[in-house]
Amino acid sequence: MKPEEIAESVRKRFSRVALGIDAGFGVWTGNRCAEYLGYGDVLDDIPTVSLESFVGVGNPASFAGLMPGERVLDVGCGGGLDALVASAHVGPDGQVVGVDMTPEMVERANEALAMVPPTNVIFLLADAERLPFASDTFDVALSNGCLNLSPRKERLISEVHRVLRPGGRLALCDAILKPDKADEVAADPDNWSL
Amino acid sequence: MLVAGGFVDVMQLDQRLNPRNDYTEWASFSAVKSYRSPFDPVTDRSRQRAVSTGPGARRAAVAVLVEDDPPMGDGIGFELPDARRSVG
Repeated sequence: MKPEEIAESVRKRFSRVALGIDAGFGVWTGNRCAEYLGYGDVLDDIPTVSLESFVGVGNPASFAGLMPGERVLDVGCGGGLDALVASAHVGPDGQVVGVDMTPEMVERANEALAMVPPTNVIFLLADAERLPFASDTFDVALSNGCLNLSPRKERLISEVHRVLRPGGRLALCDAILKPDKADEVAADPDNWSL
Repeated sequence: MLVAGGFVDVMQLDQRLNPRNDYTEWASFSAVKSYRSPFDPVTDRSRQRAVSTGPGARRAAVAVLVEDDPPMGDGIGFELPDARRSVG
């Protein structure tokens, strides 16, 4: 499979989530998924449009040690839940930038932003393998179920490394492929986005 | 493990079942960008080992992850055969 084919498969699946169409995740999206991952009370302040688009696999802001004034990048921000959670931690002197390659997800994130407009968050349509930021820009990078979707993981992690300042932190939540399943699973492009 | 060269203090913080399928699990990690950068975090294997041979169990975890050197870019998710035993 070509990387572009995998990327397109991933983009299609996540656009379906953003549009509220069954994408094969079953019930494990949105509020139920966030509750499973221990988000708890922070969800009370998250707009529904953002929560409904959530397809995370962890809760990176909960262990990133975010401090007021920090600059945070959310790689693969989806509907913006983690970025919005992070914005509360870094406060008005901080900044959170969420990037995602699926246009419909970025639209959901910006809709959420319009409902609860923290001034320290922006969402951008961008390829995580070619991040549109200068080197050493961010104090913290969050990633929640993004890296596993990329067939060019070394390129993506290199980009995250580049835009983090020395000493910057990475809070990464992702999927671990069970070794005995590797070959048979990877052969199906649909499996890359689940 | 991909969070290898260029990052230190890699810690696995959580692991749980993925309720969406039976071929992956979900895990959470924290890591810190090394002050010894810049260098290519992927291709400079010798430098990765130099970073990872520093003192402390957490850096040792990085060493294991790098030495395993799983093929990157041709599989879904991370392949972390030794991360669970080496971190924490």
